[in-house]
Amino acid sequence: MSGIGRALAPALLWVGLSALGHAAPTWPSDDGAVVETLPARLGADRDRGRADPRGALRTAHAYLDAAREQGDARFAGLAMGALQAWRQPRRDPLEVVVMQATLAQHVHDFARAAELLRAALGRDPHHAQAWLTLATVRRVQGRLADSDAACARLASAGEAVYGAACLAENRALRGDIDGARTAFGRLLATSRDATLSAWLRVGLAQACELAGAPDLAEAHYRRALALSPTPYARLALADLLLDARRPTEAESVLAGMAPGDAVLLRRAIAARALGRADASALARQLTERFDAASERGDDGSHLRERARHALAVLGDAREARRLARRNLAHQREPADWLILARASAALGDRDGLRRLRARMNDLEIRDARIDALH
Amino acid sequence: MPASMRCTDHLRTRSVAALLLLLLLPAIAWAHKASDSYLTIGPLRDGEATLRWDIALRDLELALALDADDDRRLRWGELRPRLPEIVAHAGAALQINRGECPLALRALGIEPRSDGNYLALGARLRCPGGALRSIDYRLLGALDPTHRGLLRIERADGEIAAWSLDPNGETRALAAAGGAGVASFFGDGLAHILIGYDHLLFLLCLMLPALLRREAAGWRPVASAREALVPLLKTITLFTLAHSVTLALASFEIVHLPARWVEAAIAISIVLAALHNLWPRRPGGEPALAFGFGLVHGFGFANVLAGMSLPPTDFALALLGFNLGVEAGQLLVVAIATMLLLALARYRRIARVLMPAASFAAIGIGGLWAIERLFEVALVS
Repeated sequence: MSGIGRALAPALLWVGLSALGHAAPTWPSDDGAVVETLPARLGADRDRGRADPRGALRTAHAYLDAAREQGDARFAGLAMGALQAWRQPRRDPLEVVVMQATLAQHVHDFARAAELLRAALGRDPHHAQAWLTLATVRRVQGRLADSDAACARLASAGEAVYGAACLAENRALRGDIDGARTAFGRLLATSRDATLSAWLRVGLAQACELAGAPDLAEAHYRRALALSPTPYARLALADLLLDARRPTEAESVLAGMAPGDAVLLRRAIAARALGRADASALARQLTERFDAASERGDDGSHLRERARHALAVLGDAREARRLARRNLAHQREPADWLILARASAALGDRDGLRRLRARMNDLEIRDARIDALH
Repeated sequence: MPASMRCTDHLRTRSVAALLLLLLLPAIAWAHKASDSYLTIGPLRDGEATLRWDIALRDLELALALDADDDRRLRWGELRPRLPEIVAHAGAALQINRGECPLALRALGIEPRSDGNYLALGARLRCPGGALRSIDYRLLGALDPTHRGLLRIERADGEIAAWSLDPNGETRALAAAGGAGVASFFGDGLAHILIGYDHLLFLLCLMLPALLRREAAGWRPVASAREALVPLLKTITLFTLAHSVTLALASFEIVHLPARWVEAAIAISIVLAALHNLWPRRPGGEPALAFGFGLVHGFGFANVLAGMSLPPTDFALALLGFNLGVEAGQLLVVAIATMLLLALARYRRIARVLMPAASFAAIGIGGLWAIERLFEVALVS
């Protein structure tokens, strides 16, 4: 079954069910008939629970990897399930607590992630991974000073390179583009690891975007992709190309990616920009997915995407502004400010834009793309 | 350095490298839908209703390891002999009206859905008393805490109520589906104010000056109940008015404030109300304080309500029920506290000590809560 089909909203089916009464399910006639194709089994260590934290961690890592690669939310849930036996962050094995925090962050539960990390760091103040994750969580929350502090602790915990890159990311957010570029450049010059270099280059590309230098940013994204074509970098480059009104190139960057919501959203924006016939079908599919997520009661983690969908696909700036405002209470990455700024600008809401800039100013966050809006 | 420690360091470095990209991802990594099962209960007629429950075969495989030959292709020949076990597993994970509506589940067949094939189960529900009151859903909770049971209850008049059931959550009241939603949420509102110590403490701080008057010589009990009741009524009414407004604004998503700041502001409101009692900048300013901070407390109530995921169909009614419950609980507490304080205030000596003692205690507790909530630390467990 195709990925798009898999993710079609259950809402549709429910409508079908209610309209037709219950469609009659059927039994296969042949014992050899395949009734379901199953993903590889990853949870072999699962049942030993508390007795075997290492096995449970292995399982959780395997599921989280699968969740990232295949964009399948079920795997994130199973990763959390593997560590469910541990509920006392002040006593549980440290690596379990840090992994639980990583998972909480993965599903956008930033408050929970921070709480777990503080518990872990209270017990081991030199845990590099915990500091790095905390720095990321604080950055996403728009708490740059706290993020800086965590980056510094990461560096003093023996991870100088990551600590410096971590600080450089925050510099870029503050609009210190020269400082960020110098730092990233120095780190890139000494990096011998392709994955690390790709990551640094993505950081540099984002710094360039924030500084209003999309051409430089594009070059860095492309070099990062040549080193390691992560979904993150591909989506970021696609966004840059969509902003530059180069939808055909954006589509080719996205080609072959598993059609999760993020990919589908960008395809829908591209299709609309190109005036293609499948644009409305893609828009409808996204609406159905978001509705399905709301029905589960977890629309919070989709708010940024929903706001972008409303603005760039449905052309409903008012709804986009409403969603983007709610989203900002939750996460404050550059994309989160940008979508609210664009929705406000589309509505001619100068007052809203002014207030947004004031809030960014309070948090010391700068973005040339937002400065250019009026 | 012992070899084992060096090894640990090495591992840690590697795990940092491996996790870095993970950490970047959550920003935009999006997913196929999470694991859901679909429950539909038809209209109740004479205490009977049909139940249909579709569970993904992928999920059943996780719980029961159905793929006997482990080739990751589940065949009918592997599934068929396990059906009784599956039905028993599902039956043990679902209770309606705390077991008073017996569930005789049977397997109906395979149902293709957008994200894979599901096993359709069915049952006839017979509920003594003829009402659906509660549901207890436990499927897959041990394996996947993000799994949800998406329940729809169709009413005889065609209305549909929808619920998202958390397998690790509390038993859910279904009263709204029977048309008695206001009552159920009334109970939730009542419970929330009665166990919401922070709201109560704030109210008590505001009540103290209505019962004890500050005079140059110290605290003087009010002369009559009447002298106490008028300002008290004013204070409580304004508090109610303010929190009702913000509760509605937040619940209809017209205004949204981060929960952490709201919770911290509520704690700070206690400190300020208590400070006002000890060193009033504007004596008699309690009604104004009650209104101003009432606005903040309303956002606090809204966060609780948001956590209960109200049925979208009866949202306004549920909101009304919840708010009425809060008011009723508040009235109850105010009435008891008034009687107690009036009784105590007769003894001048107690009155003189009570006011500062209670206010200082409130400052201490409110201050602790404020620090905990602002800095996300647990000072007292």
